[in-house]
Amino acid sequence: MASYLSSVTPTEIQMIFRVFIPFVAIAVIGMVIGRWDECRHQKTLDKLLCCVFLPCLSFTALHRYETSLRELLLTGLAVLVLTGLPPLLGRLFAGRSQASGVRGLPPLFRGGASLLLPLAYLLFGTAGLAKAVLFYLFVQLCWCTLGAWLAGGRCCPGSFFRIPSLYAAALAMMAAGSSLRAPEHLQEFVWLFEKGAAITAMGALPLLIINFGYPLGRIGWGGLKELLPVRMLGVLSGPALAFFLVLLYRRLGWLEVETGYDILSHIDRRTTEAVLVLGASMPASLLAPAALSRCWSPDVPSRLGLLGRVFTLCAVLFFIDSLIFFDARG
Amino acid sequence: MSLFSSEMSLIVQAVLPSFTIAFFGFLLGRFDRNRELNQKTVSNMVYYFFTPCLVFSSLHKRSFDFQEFALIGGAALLLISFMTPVAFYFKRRARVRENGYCLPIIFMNTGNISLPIALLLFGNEGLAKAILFHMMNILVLYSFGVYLVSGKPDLKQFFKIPALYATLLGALAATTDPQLPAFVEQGYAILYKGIDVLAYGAIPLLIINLGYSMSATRLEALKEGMTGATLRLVGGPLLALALIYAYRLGGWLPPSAGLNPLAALGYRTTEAIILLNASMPGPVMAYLLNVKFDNCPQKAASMLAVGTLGGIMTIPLILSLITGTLMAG
Repeated sequence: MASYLSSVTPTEIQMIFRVFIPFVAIAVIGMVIGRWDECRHQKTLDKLLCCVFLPCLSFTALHRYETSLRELLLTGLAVLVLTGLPPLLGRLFAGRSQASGVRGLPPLFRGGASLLLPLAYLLFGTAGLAKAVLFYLFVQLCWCTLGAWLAGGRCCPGSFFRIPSLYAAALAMMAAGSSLRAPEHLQEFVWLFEKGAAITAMGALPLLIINFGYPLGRIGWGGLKELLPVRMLGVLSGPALAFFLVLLYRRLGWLEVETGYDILSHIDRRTTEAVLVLGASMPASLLAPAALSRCWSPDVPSRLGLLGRVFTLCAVLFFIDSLIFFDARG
Repeated sequence: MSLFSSEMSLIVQAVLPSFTIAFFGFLLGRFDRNRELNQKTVSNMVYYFFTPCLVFSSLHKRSFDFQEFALIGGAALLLISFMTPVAFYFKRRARVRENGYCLPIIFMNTGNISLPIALLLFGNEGLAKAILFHMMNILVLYSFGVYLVSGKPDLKQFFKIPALYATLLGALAATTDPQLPAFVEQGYAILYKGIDVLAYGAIPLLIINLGYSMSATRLEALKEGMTGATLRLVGGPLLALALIYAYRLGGWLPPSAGLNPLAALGYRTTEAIILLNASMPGPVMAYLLNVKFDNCPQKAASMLAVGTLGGIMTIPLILSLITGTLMAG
């Protein structure tokens, strides 16, 4: 373990900070905007992201990325375990009290969108972004089914099918996977449409981070102190469980550890692992589909755990670099 | 086989992605029947954070040329001063008392439409030049424009423009190269990265906001703004062409390629940016100022709507003029 950790070079630490510090700074800007607005316009940001920016980001990330069934299954299973297991255990240990179940939900359901997407892109490039989009969509599916069931006693699968990103991602995967091509004279139009979507997708990155910071403007330090110890469990359990899951995947041979001759495939597998761990370290989802709010709306104090996760994230990035990419560095 | 000729393809490449994004905004507005999206929040984000970052990000990456700044800024200033008496003449003819009528005729929408087109057509070089023009337009709007609608210049507002400081800092970063300790250099690299990420958001948000506004336009309200918008869309480019001709005659933008083709390309890009910006419809900010000072906002809104819709037709024409005449020369 010590040798793994000591393998992190100053250049790598610098690279992590080069992504992480701007990220925190932009989140602080979001917090400032939230304070100005008294957080009255969260809906504006949600609407922009849900209806325009996230679909464009999903499309741009996936339309040139060949998603394999194996990857879909691995990510889907990981999301199911990471998001479903803790609340189910919590429900088991806390008895069948619905209130405790609901309180446990927000920190345990990963906010796949707000933070994972920009972080994955800034850290791992387009491949990381594509994997993060898949993670995000599976989290949304869990929100609408398991999450809604745990919170309100019934699933809202219909909400999942109202998420525009789902259709953007499906369209992108179809475009990437099918051998059908647009007629030659239309290809230029298609390419220009993709360019428009790509420009919008890049705009999603700062907006997602701002959207994360926006509600933090409402957090009082008093409340934070009071609730921080309670949230610490949720904060630390996510990445710990994800590392365990990655280890299990490796043991089962689903994510081979050997570098082999194909270094690109090796890096791809490590990126999958990194995205799973990163996704599990994310704060609670503030971007639950708007439609879900009909069944259940996330409580405000749940947002208090967000700040603790920012610090955890920094530590997780170091662990990802030292434990997951250790072999890839050779 | 390509659908367009190479020149036409360039124009379509510059315009279609922007129109695609505007269409996303338009669709968002159409589906948002309760108008829940708060445009002020979006505008504030763009105005205070995204645009200053875009300005700084594009200025600090290239060398800052004061002569170029004088040429582009001077062109913006001259175009505004030429359009002012014309706007006042038509205001008198339309028997309108409020000066707010003149604002969408005098000033240009150099942000929402022109910046993305400049970036897509001329790359970062064009974007940086377009930003210089945009800055001058905004600075005059916040001083002279505010004076026109409120009766007094609002210097306080002028000095509150965040992009002003971004321009100054960008120019400073581009012109100075101090020897700093390594950790400070690393700190700068981190800062620049954050600014670059924020800058990504400026252009799509500007266009989506415009598309969203357009979705509320009613056809019956468009008649009122026809004269002003036509004046802006036709008068602007004509004045710009005259100005470019004068610049060429004065030797500030030499027409011949000379021995340095890169310098010649730079001159032509400057001319293209001047012409492109001059052909823009009125700015949304003019309407917001009219609303703020209650200075005939309805007519301004109508002019902006007609101008922006008309721009869909005139901008490709201007771009074909740019690629076919200015850049080909």
